[in-house]
Amino acid sequence: MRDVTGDGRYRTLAQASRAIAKGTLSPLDVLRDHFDAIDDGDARLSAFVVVYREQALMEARKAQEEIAKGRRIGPLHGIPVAVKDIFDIEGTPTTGQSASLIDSVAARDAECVARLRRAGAVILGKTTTWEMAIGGPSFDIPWPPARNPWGEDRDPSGSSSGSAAAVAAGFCMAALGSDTGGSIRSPAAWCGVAGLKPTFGLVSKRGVLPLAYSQDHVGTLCWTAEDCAFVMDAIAGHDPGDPSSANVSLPPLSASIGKPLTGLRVGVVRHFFEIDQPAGEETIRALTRSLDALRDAGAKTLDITLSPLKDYNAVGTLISRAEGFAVHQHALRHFPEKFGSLARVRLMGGAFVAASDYVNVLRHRARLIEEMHEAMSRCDVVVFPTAGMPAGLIGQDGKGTPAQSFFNRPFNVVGGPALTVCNGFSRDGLPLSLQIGGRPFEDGLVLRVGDVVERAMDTRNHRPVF
Amino acid sequence: MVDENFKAQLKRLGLAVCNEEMDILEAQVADIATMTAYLNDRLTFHHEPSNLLRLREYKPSAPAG
Repeated sequence: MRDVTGDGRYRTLAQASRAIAKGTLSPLDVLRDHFDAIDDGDARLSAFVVVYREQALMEARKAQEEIAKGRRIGPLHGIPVAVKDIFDIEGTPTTGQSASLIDSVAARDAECVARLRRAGAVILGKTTTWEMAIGGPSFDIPWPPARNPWGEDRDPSGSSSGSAAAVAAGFCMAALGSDTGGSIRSPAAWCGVAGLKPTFGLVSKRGVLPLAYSQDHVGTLCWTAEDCAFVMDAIAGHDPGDPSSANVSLPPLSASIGKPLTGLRVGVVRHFFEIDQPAGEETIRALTRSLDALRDAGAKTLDITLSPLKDYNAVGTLISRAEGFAVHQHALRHFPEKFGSLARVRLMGGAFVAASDYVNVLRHRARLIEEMHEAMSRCDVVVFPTAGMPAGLIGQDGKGTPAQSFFNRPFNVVGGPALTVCNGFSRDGLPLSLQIGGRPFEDGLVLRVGDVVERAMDTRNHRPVF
Repeated sequence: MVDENFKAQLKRLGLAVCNEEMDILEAQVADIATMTAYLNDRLTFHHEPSNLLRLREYKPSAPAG
């Protein structure tokens, strides 16, 4: 890794936005820096499926002109944002990186992409995903899998692999991703970036390829928690066109950043990573240091007991398998050969979840939602690692990234916000991770806590060498 | 060796995979059965099914700190 303190090529979204507002940086300069970084490195990382060079240049030029005329819209104006290839962008294919959708051209922008445009963002390109956001890394589909910038032989995890790799490599400052069982937080953890799975219903899913309707979340990956807050301010909000959209209005999440943590109660779900699924020694040491930092900032810590992680994993997995098969069953029956092996087999497994069992799993889910609600009357956020160990080697054995490396299912099951931040590095220089979960619609609070951890652990001035 | 009953079940569902994938799918279905049995054995409560749409009715409280 390298220390990039003072290196102008690596800006956070917040830094770039402030410089653009002051007139010391232009959207075209930012975009050209990203193009240079992509040209230098993406042949090795495969983070992007496509870069919209001409369109992005046109949008950046327009943003520059508007800002020069004093018509700056807000923090995202002129900022390039990448989008996972399961989000619709008008007139371009949304493939989900599946041959079954290779010619599927979107008629209109996904709602969250439209909101990014309204906030003045420049849509930079589409990033690599595991096929249909479920199977990967795959080597038998028409696109190569993304690589981890912290080591090209390392797995970036997924499914928002390209979004995480692109942010970590400095190809962009922000990217959209989706998270059904950890697909934002896992790659954020292994690529050393911040990734927010917001509260269920806070960001519209209209125009985004579904995987499991009741567990899919749209969110963002950025270099910092503060940057995630700025992106969320642009994309969050009620969408009457999305039946799962929550009709709740929140103050800007970015306004929460920097407020004190005095008196905040941080619940540590210790049995998750000490007993249920023991995490590695370096991960636990980084978590312990993060708790010290939170106490130094005025928070109190206490241990919280929930149901075993196995309960959350079983509920989350069975729901996503059953709902995933419901989404893809026609294609799986009529042209299974158009799926890569990993996605095909995982999706077909959902055919074996009986309707009565699915109903009983939803009953378990109600129990777990109630349990988390009760636990969070005793604390304001809960913490545990996102990944139990740093990034593993990218597997070419067709088995995919091992799910038992992660602690992601609880917040897909209960729907509250969950953020991954980088809280240290392993002896081998690979990122370690902390997960911060909150009550529904208290996304601003988890971002505030994540921001404190990032600053205290001093991880944000270190970038991968690749 | 793949169970013939499993092959027949797959056929009834209108699905087909190649021989190399049959073992992987069968193992995955066994995992699904294990998870299902684990949860069904613990149905000792009286909750009705829930999904997350009820969160739209949740009223955010002022967070501490």
